[in-house]
Amino acid sequence: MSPGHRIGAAVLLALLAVTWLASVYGWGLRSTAVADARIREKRRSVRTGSGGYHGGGPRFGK
Amino acid sequence: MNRQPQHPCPTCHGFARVPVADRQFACARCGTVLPPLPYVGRGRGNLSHLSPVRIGMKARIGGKEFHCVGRIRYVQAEDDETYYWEEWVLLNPDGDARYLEFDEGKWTLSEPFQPAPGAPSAGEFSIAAEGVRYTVDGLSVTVTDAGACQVKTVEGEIPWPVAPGDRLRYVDMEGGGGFFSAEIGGDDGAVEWFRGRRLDDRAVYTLFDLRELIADLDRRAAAARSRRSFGLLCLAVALAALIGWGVARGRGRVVAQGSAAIANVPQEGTRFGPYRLTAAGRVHRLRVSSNLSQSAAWVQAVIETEDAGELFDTAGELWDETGYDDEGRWHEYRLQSQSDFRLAREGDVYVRVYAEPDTAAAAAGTVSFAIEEGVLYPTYLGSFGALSLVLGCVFFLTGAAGATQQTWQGMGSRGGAAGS
Repeated sequence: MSPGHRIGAAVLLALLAVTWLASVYGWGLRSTAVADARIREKRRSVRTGSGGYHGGGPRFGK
Repeated sequence: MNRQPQHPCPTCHGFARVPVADRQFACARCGTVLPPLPYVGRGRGNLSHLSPVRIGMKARIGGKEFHCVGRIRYVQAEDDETYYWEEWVLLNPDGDARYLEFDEGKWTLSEPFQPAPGAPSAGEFSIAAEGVRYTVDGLSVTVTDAGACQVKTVEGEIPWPVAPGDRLRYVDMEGGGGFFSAEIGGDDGAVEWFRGRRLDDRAVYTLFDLRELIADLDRRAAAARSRRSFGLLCLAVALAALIGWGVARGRGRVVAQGSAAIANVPQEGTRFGPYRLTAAGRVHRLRVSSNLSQSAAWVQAVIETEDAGELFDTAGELWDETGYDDEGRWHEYRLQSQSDFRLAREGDVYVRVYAEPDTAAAAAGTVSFAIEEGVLYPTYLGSFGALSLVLGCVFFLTGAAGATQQTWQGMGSRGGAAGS
């Protein structure tokens, strides 16, 4: 391989390793470190019909 | 076309003439400057170049030196299409000739020869068409092309009569590992025979000792190999990432699970637990599902602390529906929702399940949840795998095609004289 492609190959393998680690350790994922107020809001909006859940699914003739 | 060399050099009797200064030609053997050949209609220099070969170049074929003395461009009109190809005339001073044809990027080097008795006559060639078989020199050959063409332009000092407008019939044949061509021209219908072989660019450049072009071919071949290798590596990386993606879409180890009848889930939800999660810093998956049939419900599973602090959830409109249409029975459903999260620290958690039936029938169903650990987050691997796959295909295919401009395409004419 040419020097440019060798560098590209090294970068690609490094990115694969980083991607694998990110998938194993969940980098960037929501964590359970802090409480999430949006959860309650999601439920409230469903119950009041103001949110996007009720009536959103392709169901029963829609 | 009668290809017998005429008008030898008066000094050394050589037939090959090459361009020298001031648009003159000289004998290739002794250097005597010679007057132009007495043929009319020869071109004078503006014939475009389709290949790196130029008038005046020398080629070494079978240990013998040949001079490129001229070029004939042919035209053939067939089925509303017009085809062009060209033939370089390579001449040894003693009159021995070779012909290098360049047709749509393919080279054929041929020489005149006299086949053994029994070769097809002009009359037998009247039915020649692709696929017809003949016997030449004891070899069974098959016609690959046959037709009538016309000389479009002539360039250089070709020492026999050939001029634009000359017409001839040709029959190209292959067999016995070789190439044969019969040329039927003139009023007498005489057949001129040629035999030869196909050459690739490298072989042609080697004949003319075009080292720069050979080196360029080597460079381009090395670059193409490098692109292919890099493409293969990208494809291997893509495969690894996509395998990981497939694994990540599977199930992990279930560390908590529970279920409840939807009818029994109160408005404040049903709480399960505690469950001890130990794999801090790792990906976990929270999954909620239902066994609904012909009904729908909105469900939510929430991971919360002992004092009901809500940390993470997954929710969704789950439904199942069956019906009939023009194509018959159909069954559609969405009965699961899941989300991945990262466990911040080891500890006990609770899961609270909510269910909001949209239809009365939904109350008969159950809602279940599960927490899995030891899972991979699939999105990163899937995205990276797809990107690597595209990258690998692009590099591998461009490496295979070798679609780069060749060095000679920037070369000027060495011929000097002539033009049509």
